[in-house]
This record gives sequence, structure tokens and C-alpha cells, in this order.
Amino acid sequence: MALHVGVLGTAIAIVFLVLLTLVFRWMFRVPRQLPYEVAKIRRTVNQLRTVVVPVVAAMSSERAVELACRLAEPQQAEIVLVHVVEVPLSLPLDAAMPNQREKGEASIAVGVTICETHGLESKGVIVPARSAWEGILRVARERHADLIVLGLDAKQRRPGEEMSRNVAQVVRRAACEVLVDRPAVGAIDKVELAD
Amino acid sequence: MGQPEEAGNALRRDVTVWGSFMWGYADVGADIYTALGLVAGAAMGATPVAFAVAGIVYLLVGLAYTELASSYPVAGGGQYFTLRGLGDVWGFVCGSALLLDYTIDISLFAVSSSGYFNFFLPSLGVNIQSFVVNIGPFVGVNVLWLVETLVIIGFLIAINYVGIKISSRINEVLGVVAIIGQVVIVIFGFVFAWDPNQMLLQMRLQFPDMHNFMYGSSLAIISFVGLESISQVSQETRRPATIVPRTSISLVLNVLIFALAFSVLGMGLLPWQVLGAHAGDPIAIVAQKIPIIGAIAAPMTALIGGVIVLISSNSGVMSASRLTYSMSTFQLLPEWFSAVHPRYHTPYRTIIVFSGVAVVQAILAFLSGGAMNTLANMYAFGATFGYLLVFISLIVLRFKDPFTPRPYRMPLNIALKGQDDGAPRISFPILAVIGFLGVGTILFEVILTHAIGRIAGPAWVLVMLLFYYIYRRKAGLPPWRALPRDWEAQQRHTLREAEEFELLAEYEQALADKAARGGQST
Repeated sequence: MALHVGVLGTAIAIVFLVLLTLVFRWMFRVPRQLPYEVAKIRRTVNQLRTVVVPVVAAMSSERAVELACRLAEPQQAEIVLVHVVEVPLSLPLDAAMPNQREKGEASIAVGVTICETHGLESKGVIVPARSAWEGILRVARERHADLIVLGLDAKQRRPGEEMSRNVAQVVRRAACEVLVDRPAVGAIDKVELAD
Repeated sequence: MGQPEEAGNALRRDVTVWGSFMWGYADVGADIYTALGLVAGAAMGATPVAFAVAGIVYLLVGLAYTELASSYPVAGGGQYFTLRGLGDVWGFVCGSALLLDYTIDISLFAVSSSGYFNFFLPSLGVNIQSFVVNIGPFVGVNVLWLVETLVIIGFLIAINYVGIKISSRINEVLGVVAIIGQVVIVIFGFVFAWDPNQMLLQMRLQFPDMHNFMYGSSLAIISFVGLESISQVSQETRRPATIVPRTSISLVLNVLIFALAFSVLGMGLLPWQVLGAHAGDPIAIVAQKIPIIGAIAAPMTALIGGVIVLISSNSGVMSASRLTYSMSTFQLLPEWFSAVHPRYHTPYRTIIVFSGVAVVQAILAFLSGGAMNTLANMYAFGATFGYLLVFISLIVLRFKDPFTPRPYRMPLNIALKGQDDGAPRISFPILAVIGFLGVGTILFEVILTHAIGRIAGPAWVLVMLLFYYIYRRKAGLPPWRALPRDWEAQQRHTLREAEEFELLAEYEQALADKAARGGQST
């Protein structure tokens, strides 16, 4: 039995030992167990496949898109960005409202960019309606939405105002889950981005 | 109709991560102790290559079992998967093929284990050859060895009868000893003795012809048989859907690492002819060549060999009993087999009956000089035939049951259907097809080259099939048609009972979606 110490043999022995160690280490790192209630609740969020977000030219609206993206990201849900063109009763519903549409397209473009940063698919929809809540609910219904995320302007605190009415109607009438985000006053303005 | 068992008589979930791993390791880990010599004798200088080729097929089998065992964590293994995928008759055929392997597992490794322990008899002043006698027409029967074997099987029956916790603990402890011993041999061998030039010279100058290489690689795949055991014990494993994929993949990698390490080490220490000539104890011969530890390496290897094949035999008792328990639960075998012991919660009747079959096999092995070869041939047939059906079932289940959550999927899939219409995505497993072709090739080689296996293997399955036909006719059940079963209720029950709540929630959601779309039951 001649002693034959070789570099290659030693290297193979080290690789062998390291591989075994890594395999066993991985095997013993078992994810912790979730109680049934927790698992079920997590599943309800994981099941979100289509998320509708109404968008207007406002920071609160863009923040709603960001929040929706974070909820949608784990399961790669689709984001539907809705801009409702509110048509006065004095005009037919299909009346051309180029300025409103232009504003809507700009808002949707911002929303699409936010979605892209999360690697999510998004669709922009401009829908004419007599009121914002009607348009939002119509799109949610047509797209089989699982969730509507509404961004509420922080300054609109008192009930009875227009936005609150829209929110109230959506919350009351939507067949799917509704999430209303109202940031604290000045919360968005306080955030500063470094150059 | 086969229904999930009630909580009162269910098998206990006592098997931990290490226990689950060791049930598989106990079965597979022992194989290298005999396979190295056999493969070297056939594959010559290409022995490490033969192990590598067989290892690829084994890897695919391992991935298939990982997906299925984590998706359907119930006792039965390949038989259950085939039952779900292909129906009652094929489920029974697969079960009988695997049952053949398990009973042989018990007898073969009990014989082998006592053989390893006999290594120490001369130091106790006992000459094993003095116990060889002639019994009627049977010549050269070693009575002491036979008694030792029967005592070992009896001991294993007893601990499995009492409960999985006891036998699982034995596996866990003995497995640690075996793995540490193997690691020591590999490390010392490579660092102090391995000569790469010797291995390369053999590979270059003594490469086998195609026939020998194919024969060698078919023997090498046999050395990987046993992963099934993890599936068999998944109904007794804690959180099986989480743990089984980890233990299965770890086992596949571990056995591959050891098989490649021993084959490369052996070829760098000894000529392949020496390894081939010591088919019974090739690892011991390798260990003897290692400096520093060489003096104690041989007895240590004999001890480790005896230990590891003992736990392999124990694994056979467990797997045979769990398999038949599962088959009787689904009315593929009489319900009498499905009885669980009221105190120990173990399938005691199947343990006694099918370990009894192994006792008969062991006695035949001693009475006939060629019985060991017969057992080895049938072992190869049973495993490859069973694996073939498992691959088909995996593919069929991807289509038939897309709702069951699969915590682990075989990689490399083709998406056949999107989620736009709300239906679950169906992904076609390319690797399962490759695995099917690989195992199919090995089965073809077994039928072509194993003279006894190609007769005795199918004969066993046909006899079992006849028994199945008679039982189903007597019980008033359709012999050739699958019985209606509520698989969804069973899957729910299994996941709830296994405390795999995330998967249960996912499954219930998938079923709710299906109901909303007006889908039919699977």
C-alpha cells in the first residue's frame, strides 16, 4: 500500500465533501409550516389575477398603481389601468372629448411605466361614462377583475364630496375586492428623490 | 369503493426529514456494495462512464418520483401513481412488479447482511464452512447462514410490526454510521492512494465493446433501485409535500455522488479485473488498498456493509407492507390486507404475509445455488417495468389531473394551454419522455440479456394478475374496469391530514375555479 498523495485526488476529495455538505444542508432547510388559516388567507391574495386601477393625473392615483403592482407582482397578475371620461348629461355618451382622452392617455402612460418597472403586463382602457364609478365598475365586470385599487386624494377627507361618492359607490357595488388607499396628508409630497 | 382511511386507523406520521432520506438511502445506498464489482466485470475500463450513463436515467427516475410523491403523498408509491393515471389493472400490474422487488429486497439483503457479519466469525473461532450440509436433493446448504438470515428477517418483521417510529429510528442511526464510513473511505482513498494515471490508462486501453458497455450500464441502473421507498413512506412522513422533494433530490444526488466516487476511486486503485473478481465485496477490496487506514479498513467495510444491507432489508419490509396496504385499500387486493393494528397503527398483516414471501425466497436461495442470480434478474425486471409505468402515469396525470398542486415539477416542460380561459395550465414534461425512453431501453436490455429475469419476472406478474382477477370476480368487482373513486375528496383528506395547508388552500381554490367554470370531476 504505497502512499500516493496527489493534488488532483485531494481536490476531488474536497469537491466530494463540499458537494455532500451542500446537499445535506439544503435538505435540512425545510420551509416552516403555515397554519391552515394563514395559508388560506395567503392563498386569497395569491389568487389575484386581474387588478383594476382607476388612473387620473394625480400622485394618489399613481401611488395606487404602485400599490397594485406590489400586490400583483408575486403571482404576475395583470393590471388594467382605467381612465373614465365623464360625459355630461347634455352630451351623448359617445361624444368625442379629445382633451379628456388626451389627459387619460397621459395618465395611463405613467401607469404603464410603473407596471413595467415591476415586470407586469398592463392594459390601458379609456371608457366614457356618466360618472367615474359607473365606468370603473363596468371595466371591472368586463375584465373579471379580482381587485380594484382606488387611490384617494389625501385632501379629500370629508364624506359627500365627488371622489368620496365615487369611492363609496365602487365599494358598495363592486362584485370583487376593493382596496382604498388614502395616504396621510402631505405624505407623498414629503418624499424627496436624491439626484 | 376505495375511500381514504379514517383518522382512527391511519398510518402515523412519525418520519422526519432524516428518516425520510434514510428510508431511501437504506434501499439505494446498499446497492453500490455489490454493483461495483458486477459493473466493473462488464464495463471494464469504462466503469465510471457506465455509472454516469445509468446515473442520468436514475436522475430522471428520481425527478419523476419527486414530482409524484410530493403531489400525492400517500402510501403506495409507483402503484398509486399508476392507479391514478392508468386505472386499476395497470395500477395492480405496477404494484405487483414493485412488490416483486420489495420481497426480493428483504430476502437478498438479509442473506447479504448475514454474509457480511460472517466475516467476523473466524476471529470468534467459528468456521462457517463446517455448517454446510446436504438436505435430500439439495447439496451444500449452509444451515448457520440460513438460520442467521431467517433470524434477521424475523427481527425486522418484529420491529416493523411494533411501529414505524422504532424502525425509522433504527434506519436513522445505522444510516449515519454507514454514511460516515463511506465518506472516510472515499476521502482517504482519494487523498492518499488514488492514481489518476491508472484510471485513465484503463479507460483508454480497455474500453469495452458496445454489448459489454450496454450490459454494464444495465447492471449499473440496478444499483440505483430503491428511491421508491421514500414514496412508500410518504404517508407516514411529516409534511410530505414539503419534505419529500427535498429528501428525494438529496438522495438522488447523494447516491450519484457516492456511485461516481467509488467507481472513479476503484479504477484509480485497482485493475477492473480485480474489482470484477470480487463482486461480493468490491468496496472492501478498495478499502484494503488505502494506506494508513488499510489495516482496519477491511473489517470496518465489512461492518458497514453488514449494517447498510441490513437497513436495506428493513426498508424492503416497510415498502412491501406499505405497498400492499395501499393496494388493499384501493381494492386491488383483498381488504383483509388493509387492517391496521389497533395498538401500533401498523399494517401488520401485510408485514407478516409479504415478509413471509421473502422468507420463502431466502430459503429457496439457500437450497438452490443459482437462486441468488434468479433473484437479481427478477429484481432488475421488476424495477424497470415499474418505472416505465410510472413515467407514463406522470405524463397522463399532467393532463388528467391538472388541479392537484405540484410543489415540485420535473423541469423542461412545454406549456400546452394558457390560462386565458381560466383553465389550469397543462405543461407537457419533455424529461419524462426522455426518462421513459431511457428506462425502456434498460428494460429492453434486461429482457434481452437476463435469461431468468425475462421468464420469472413476467411469470410473477401474470400469477399476481390471475390472483387479482379471481379476487375481483369473487368480490363482485369488475376485473378489468377501474372502480369509481372520489379522488378530489381523497386529495383534500390527504393534504389536510398531512398538514400541507398551503397546498390544500391552493387545491381548494383550483377546484372552486373549476366548479365556477362548470368543469367535470377528474
